[in-house]
Amino acid sequence: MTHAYRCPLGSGAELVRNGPVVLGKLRPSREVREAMQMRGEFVPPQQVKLLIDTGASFSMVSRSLATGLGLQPLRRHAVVGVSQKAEMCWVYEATLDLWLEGPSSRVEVALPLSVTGVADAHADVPHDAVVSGLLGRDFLASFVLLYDGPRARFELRTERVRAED
Amino acid sequence: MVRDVSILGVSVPHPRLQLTPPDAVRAGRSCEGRGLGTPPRLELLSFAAAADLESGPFGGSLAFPGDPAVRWDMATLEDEVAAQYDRFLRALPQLRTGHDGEWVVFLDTARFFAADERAALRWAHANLRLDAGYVVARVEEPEPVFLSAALAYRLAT
Repeated sequence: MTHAYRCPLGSGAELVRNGPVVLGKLRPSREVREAMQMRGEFVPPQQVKLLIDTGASFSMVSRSLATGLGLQPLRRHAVVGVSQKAEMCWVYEATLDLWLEGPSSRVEVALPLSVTGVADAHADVPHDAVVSGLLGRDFLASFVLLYDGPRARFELRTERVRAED
Repeated sequence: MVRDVSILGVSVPHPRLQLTPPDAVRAGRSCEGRGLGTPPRLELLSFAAAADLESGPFGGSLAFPGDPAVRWDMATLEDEVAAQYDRFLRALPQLRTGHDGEWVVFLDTARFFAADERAALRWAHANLRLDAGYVVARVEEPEPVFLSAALAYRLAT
């Protein structure tokens, strides 16, 4: 059963300028959410704009966004960023909520996602003013990406939705 | 705050339990009606679980999974995961013998190996506390990765 994420309709120029941007909600994994609930805490999901980047091997968001959401740290790894030097960055466990179109209806799916927290390039810019992060090849491993320039659209398609357990 | 533990319906004081109630409860507000459900209540299903509290694999701290409300502090969690990650790196040469390319749940030692990250995380969620400081990582030589291909291009030029 095929499910697909389709970009909102726009012009070809917009797709060139903005790139293939996915709109979704980022939040902690179910286990962390339950833990927060037990503490009487609730951190609302963060609306995110994530740019699909086939040149990135991993998905990333700003570190301040990751820690603000209370994402669970899993490990560290060395990342070569804008400084051109390898810096140790945290990898967090997260959930990305996306609306996917199924054969008969649209469904909101909670997708598990490991994201790397990278130091904010523009700390003074609100999260919603710029792209919140990148969806790299780790995310794309579960999808077929169709980029249709002439029709100004792109699509992420999957035969098997690997939703949160 | 020292709290009692209810074992098979019998309330037993347990000096090692450091339970911090939700802010809403401390403030005298009910979690119900805010979509948060009832306040947390510790309940052990057996004396074996109670024994885990004293001799569990995590240095005698609370050891049953599914009770992340206890001593779960995100501020210190990164320090604990960082310490575990250093141990993981030290153990890596040994882990690569026989498990190269697999995913591991590491807490002081390798706890579980899996073919992919999701399977490793499922095991960790089912068997470890969120605040245990466990590492989930691939058993491979760590190498720096580029944030994006554009940076690789800039380096090359």
